[in-house]
Amino acid sequence: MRYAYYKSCSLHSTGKEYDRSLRDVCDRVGIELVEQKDWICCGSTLAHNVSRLLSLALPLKNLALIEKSGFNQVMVPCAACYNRFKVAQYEVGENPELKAEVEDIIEYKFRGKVKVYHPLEVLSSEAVLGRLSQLVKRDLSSLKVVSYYGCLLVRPPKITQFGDVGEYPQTMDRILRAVGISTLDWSYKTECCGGSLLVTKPEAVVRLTQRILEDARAVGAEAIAVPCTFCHLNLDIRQQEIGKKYNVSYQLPIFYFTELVSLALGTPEDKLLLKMHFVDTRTVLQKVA
Amino acid sequence: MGKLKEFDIPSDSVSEFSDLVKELHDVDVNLCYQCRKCTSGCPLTDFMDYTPTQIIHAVRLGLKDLVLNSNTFWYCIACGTCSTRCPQETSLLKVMDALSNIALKEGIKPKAPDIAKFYQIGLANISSFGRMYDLGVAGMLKLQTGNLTQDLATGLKMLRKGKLGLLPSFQNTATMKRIFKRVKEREKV
Repeated sequence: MRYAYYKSCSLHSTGKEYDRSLRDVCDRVGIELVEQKDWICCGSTLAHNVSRLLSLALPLKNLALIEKSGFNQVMVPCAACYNRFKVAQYEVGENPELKAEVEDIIEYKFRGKVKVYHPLEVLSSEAVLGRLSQLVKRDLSSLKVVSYYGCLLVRPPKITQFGDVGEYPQTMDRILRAVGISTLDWSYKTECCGGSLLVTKPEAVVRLTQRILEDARAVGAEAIAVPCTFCHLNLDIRQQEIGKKYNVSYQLPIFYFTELVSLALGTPEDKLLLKMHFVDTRTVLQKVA
Repeated sequence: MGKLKEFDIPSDSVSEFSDLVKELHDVDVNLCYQCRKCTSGCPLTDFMDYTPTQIIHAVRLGLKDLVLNSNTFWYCIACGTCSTRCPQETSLLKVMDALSNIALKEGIKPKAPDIAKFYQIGLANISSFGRMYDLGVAGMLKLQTGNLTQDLATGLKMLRKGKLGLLPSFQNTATMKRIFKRVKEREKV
């Protein structure tokens, strides 16, 4: 399998560990990622708040560049980019006049529709799951994890068409179970972490993430797995502060789901960028094996 | 169960403001029957001065000043819970976008100025560099909102962990600038 790889701004900065572990997992299961050199920012949270046209033109320009380079499918690991790509495709799909207008802005006429995939969708196919279980090298079965999906992949389901159940997704649970990690049932799989309010309204993010951490702890999780760079940062960076405010110590390491898969497939811890995490990951990993 | 059709309201009784929102963002607020599922699911209502249900009703009534001077749409982080659960498939996501787009275009002083500034500075940043230069956005935001010390500790923590690049990198900037220019030309018309 071969995909164009849209690496996103966030995987160049706050989410370098996501990129590292995703590539490792894809290598091991035989998925080829071809990084796009000719890309621009998709506009993320910023553009749609300021200009609808801009918020459509930026993702579609990227899809145009991808189609031009000969790909009809792209892997987009950042949940925010994934969401904006899907929204843009949906909006112009519903409105031919708008499509013509955006095509004029980006100076490209689409021949078809580039299929946009998140790694969760690709890695949860039956074929890949089978392959993953065969490749397991490290026993992480005693590690209790909750899968946190966040908002942007699953909502609104009509638009993102994410290959999973909208309000109670399972893809990440299936992937982690395939490599022997136990995932727990919990209620906050798709509750919002506050996203980019981290920058402007940290008090809102503290409130939202505290609820998520609290439910994870209540069901007995020792770690949280995530598929999104915003979620990772929000849940990871403020645990100490939240602990102080609510008088509780969480110490819940936040892993990109690809890091856990990578570890289960035998990648040594020092080959991943676990040191970039704020909440220490060693204690939990030493305990399991 | 299928959704109800648009209420049979004579065209002259629909507010100009709801027409504007419909024209700009293809979303029809007249489909809403005020069931409040959006507000029940919204994670940020504690911070909003009007609930999403109140805002959509106010748009329908044409209360433009009240709506554009509220903080509701600035606090909306586009999690999509409202649009997912709406029995009428009225996209509140689009209503919120329409409101921030209109407020900025009409030069209305934002009720949550730092959030609005963040979007504007962030966009100026990607138009210069082609991709996000986080440290640049954070620095500009602190300068322009005069809020120099808030969250400095968080920024430093990120720097120490190598999560922020000290210097910007440039990514396909000519393409980016051209798109900004072409969008701007169209929006002036």
